[in-house]
Amino acid sequence: MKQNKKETQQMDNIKKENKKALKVFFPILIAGGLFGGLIGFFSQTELFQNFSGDIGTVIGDLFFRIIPYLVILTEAVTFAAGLVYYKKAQKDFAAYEAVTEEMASAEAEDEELLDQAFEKADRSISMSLVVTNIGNIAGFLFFGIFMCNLTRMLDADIFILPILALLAFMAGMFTTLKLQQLETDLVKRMNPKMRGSVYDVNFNKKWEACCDEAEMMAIYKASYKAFRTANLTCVVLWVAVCLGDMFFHYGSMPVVTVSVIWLIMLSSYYMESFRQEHRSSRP
Amino acid sequence: MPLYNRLKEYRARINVNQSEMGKLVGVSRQTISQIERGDYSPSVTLALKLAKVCDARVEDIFSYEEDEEEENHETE
Repeated sequence: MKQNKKETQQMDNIKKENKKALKVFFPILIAGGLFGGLIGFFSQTELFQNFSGDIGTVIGDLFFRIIPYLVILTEAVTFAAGLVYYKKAQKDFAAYEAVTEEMASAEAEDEELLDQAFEKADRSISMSLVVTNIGNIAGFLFFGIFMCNLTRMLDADIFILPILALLAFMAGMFTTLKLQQLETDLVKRMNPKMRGSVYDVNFNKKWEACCDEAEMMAIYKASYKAFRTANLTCVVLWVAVCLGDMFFHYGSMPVVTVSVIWLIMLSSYYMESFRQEHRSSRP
Repeated sequence: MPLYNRLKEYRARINVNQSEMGKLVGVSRQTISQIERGDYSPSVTLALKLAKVCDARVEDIFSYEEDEEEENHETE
């Protein structure tokens, strides 16, 4: 009797929670549907067809003209910014090393000072890694757009700019990789137990194996946050590429790409979650 | 539910700095620092290792106090 009462109470709580959330979710769903319907309706009008055609042509032409310069500029900026942040990280790491040496010879360790020096150095190295990685991805983005416009450039007898853009991209890849190696080496010097080389294909696994439980927890929390952000981004991107086809007429490839990424991400997450929940240490 | 600890006190008794403590239990100095500041709650395994190194019981080093709200929720 007591068990039935408890189960009924649990079901009631679940229903209440769903009802409360639906009050916000339902209007968003209706608004989204109405907005999508309006866009779909007006996209078939002649005015919109002409407008979208013009917009698509204008943006396409703009990219055609500026993309080689964008590739070169991105690689140059990424290298410069990455180097500046790396130099700062080196300086802060040297300051941390100085504090560590001072503590080693002191009678009592000033843990707060050591923590502050470590935090500062760690933050600088993290920023350096973030800048290098974001720059690297921006480089891939613009180079990808460049490759989509390459045939058109060659047909228009434009040769010098594409060659320069290609060389800039290749140089950017080398310098980014080198910077990432230097930054990772700094992390390893700050945390001597860490192992792994950025040139190793199993780098991520080896790095993870060296992390202690607190570091692993930070990785897991960051990964889950990244998963949630990527999930939302996939929804937004899916809508954007569907609508974008009205302007750019690029076909179904982008929506397929976004959907495949979304599917792999979700499947990978749920499979690993299931595996983690049902693992056993029993032989 | 906050976890309180006296790790710094016990560490001082055995005259070991954070870095040395970290090496003894297999974690980084930063993790020991985070535990002492209350920013990280160690796993049972790590708590047992710390207690063993400090030659004390886990409950001597770590404790928690339930707050009033949680107590009322449980009695309901």
